[in-house]
Amino acid sequence: MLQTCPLQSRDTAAVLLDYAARRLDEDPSLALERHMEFCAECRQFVDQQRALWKALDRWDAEPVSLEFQRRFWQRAERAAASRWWAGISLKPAIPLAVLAVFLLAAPPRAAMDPPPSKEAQAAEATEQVLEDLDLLSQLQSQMK
Amino acid sequence: MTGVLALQADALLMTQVRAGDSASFATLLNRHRLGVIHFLYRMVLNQAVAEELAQEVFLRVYRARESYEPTARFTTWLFRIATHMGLNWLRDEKARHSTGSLDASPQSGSEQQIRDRRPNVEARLLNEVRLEEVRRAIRALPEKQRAAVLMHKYEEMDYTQIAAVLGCSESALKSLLFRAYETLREKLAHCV
Repeated sequence: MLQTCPLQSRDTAAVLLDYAARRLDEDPSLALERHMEFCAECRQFVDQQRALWKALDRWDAEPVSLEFQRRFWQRAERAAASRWWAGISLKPAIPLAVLAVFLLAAPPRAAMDPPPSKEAQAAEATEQVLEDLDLLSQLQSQMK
Repeated sequence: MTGVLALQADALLMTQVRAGDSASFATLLNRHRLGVIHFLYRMVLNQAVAEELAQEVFLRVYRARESYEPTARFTTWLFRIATHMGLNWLRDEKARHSTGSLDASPQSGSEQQIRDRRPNVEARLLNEVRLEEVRRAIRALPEKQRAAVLMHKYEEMDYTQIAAVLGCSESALKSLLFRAYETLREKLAHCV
């Protein structure tokens, strides 16, 4: 027989929850049953809790995808692969990477010079023609 | 006794996983996936989301295998991660749809079952209505109470373990559960 009614505190009322769920061991169950013979409140609590339990039993879980485990192992493999890449030390490659970035970012030398103006281009062409004429006259004199 | 053996087996398997035996993890996955998925489904009310979250739960456990120490029950650790992920998802979802669109989003079996034309349609509909009331009542519980009820009722976990998962004392948990069941008894009084 119980010394005090379990409903006197929420902590001790757990024994009624367990009894209603049929999860209480035999000895405490018998003690509670003896108490309930005289305690209408506890009897009512257990009846209501059992009815609630039955109502909650209506809620079955949904079927689980058959692919669940296969998907898990695929993910685990992907995670392991990404960890493998992440584990590689990039320290030795840093100077090379900096150099590559510098070379790629720096424009070619020709591109750095401003394009020649039209006058400069014309002067250069005239100079070239004069040089050619000079060379031609030298050749003609040598042939004579 | 069987439970104790299973717990020891879980810890042993996880120790083998830590030593590089992935077959042992396959056993753990096979043993606990349904519990975790069902728990998460009842938390988030969406089967696809529940499975995604469960994948993440097991991945986290698998990634942490090298640092595993059998100080707590394996399932306590597993459900602590699952609860954390479920609650985070619910908070994110609440932030995304602050107008309570959870009513519309859950993937319930109700539509499928209504479409399923069988002779006893009326009984099925009545059962479906009551089931929806159960879902609603549980969904309306504060998050921690909801998680506690799901672990206690559906996963049949004991007070010590649930308290460890939720990070509270056993006494606080009993009080939490008492309040939760009290609310449920009131809300579902008409359909029990």
